[in-house]
Amino acid sequence: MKIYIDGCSWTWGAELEKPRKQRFSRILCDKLGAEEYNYSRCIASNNRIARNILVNHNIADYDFAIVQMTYPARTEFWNQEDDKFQDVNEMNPGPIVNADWWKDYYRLIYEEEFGDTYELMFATAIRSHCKANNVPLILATRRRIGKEEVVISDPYYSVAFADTAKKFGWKFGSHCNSMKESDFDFLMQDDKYPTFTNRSHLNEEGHIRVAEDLERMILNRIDT
Amino acid sequence: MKIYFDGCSWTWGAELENREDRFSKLIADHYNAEECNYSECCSSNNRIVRRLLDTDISSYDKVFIQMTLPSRTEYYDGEVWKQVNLGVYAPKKSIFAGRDIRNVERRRFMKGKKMTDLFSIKSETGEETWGYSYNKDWKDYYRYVYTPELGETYEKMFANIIRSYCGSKLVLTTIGNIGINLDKSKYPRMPDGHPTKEAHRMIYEDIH
Repeated sequence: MKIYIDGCSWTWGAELEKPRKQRFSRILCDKLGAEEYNYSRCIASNNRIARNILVNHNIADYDFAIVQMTYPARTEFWNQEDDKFQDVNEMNPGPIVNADWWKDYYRLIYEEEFGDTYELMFATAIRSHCKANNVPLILATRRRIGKEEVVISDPYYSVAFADTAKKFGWKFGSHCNSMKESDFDFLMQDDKYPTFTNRSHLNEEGHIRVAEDLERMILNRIDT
Repeated sequence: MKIYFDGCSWTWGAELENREDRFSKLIADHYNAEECNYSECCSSNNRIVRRLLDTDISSYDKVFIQMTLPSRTEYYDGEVWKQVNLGVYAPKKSIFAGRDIRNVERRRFMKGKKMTDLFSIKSETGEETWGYSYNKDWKDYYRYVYTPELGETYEKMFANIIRSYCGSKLVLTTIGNIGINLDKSKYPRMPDGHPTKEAHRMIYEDIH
């Protein structure tokens, strides 16, 4: 069995000592005797995650898909200098090309309603693409329903993020979203999954528990 | 029977005297179906996909989607969605009218002449603003951020989204790069580059 996996740093295994061995995708695939195809990347946007499954890979080549969506404010652009796509993070648009434009984008153009609408659009797109190709999907998210914690641990979280937070009336540390639990199959940022400090990422134990729950879901899907 | 249509000004029937002459009406009449045409002038592929995925497509019997220029995009200004459009077909301002849109757009980018001189922003209320420098942020987007690689990759992504969502009900056309090409010289054009009444009938005959 080949399992297609994508997401952001939560799926990549950020902060783990040995990400490629300790992350949930590896644990899960070892349990199922499956081949792990983990295309996740830290700071990935939903745009990238959708582009990967819709353009870069043929999902029909896989037997199962686990796609973890991320913060909707993130996006991406084509970096001509590096000849590749580059992700943009609303809290960290500093060390990228055209940083000034991206700071203005979050300050003047981006609206939460835009992000929420596109999050659901990409979620629907990923679901229908997997369905059209007869590939069972577990659609996960790292976001929390309703009140959401914002982790500030990166030295670049500075002026741009302060402006973004001010624009949306966020208090540092939390803001609300319009997500519904029914929009996703799996909520990764659940209190039952232990994380490193500040809920930054799943810790080793968190990855093990996520893998156990995903295994249960996959076996149920296969049974039915 | 209901038929879903969406696209940009080409599907909307821009420059036609009578909207009854547009190809969507001809197709709907052919099938004795209800014409549900949601197209908008200056539309981006983003809007077309956003609207489609918010629709229960099972209530339609056929779906005709016309994709548009990949450089267009959209944003939400806090009240309404707005379409951002490079000025390829700017009324009486464009030297490109009637020529192959895709090649004009691509060639200008390849020459390093990014199309920042003229573009429009149109709101869903129909208000449209053409300008040269009134909106620095979007002008700078086309100057510094947008590239054909971005536009054309997302065009593929949107096309695959549309195909997966609509399945066998879909007829996909385009004035961009993916789908049945409507930007053909055989279709006569109006002064600002849109299909004439005769061209709409030819398009109907080609795709229905």
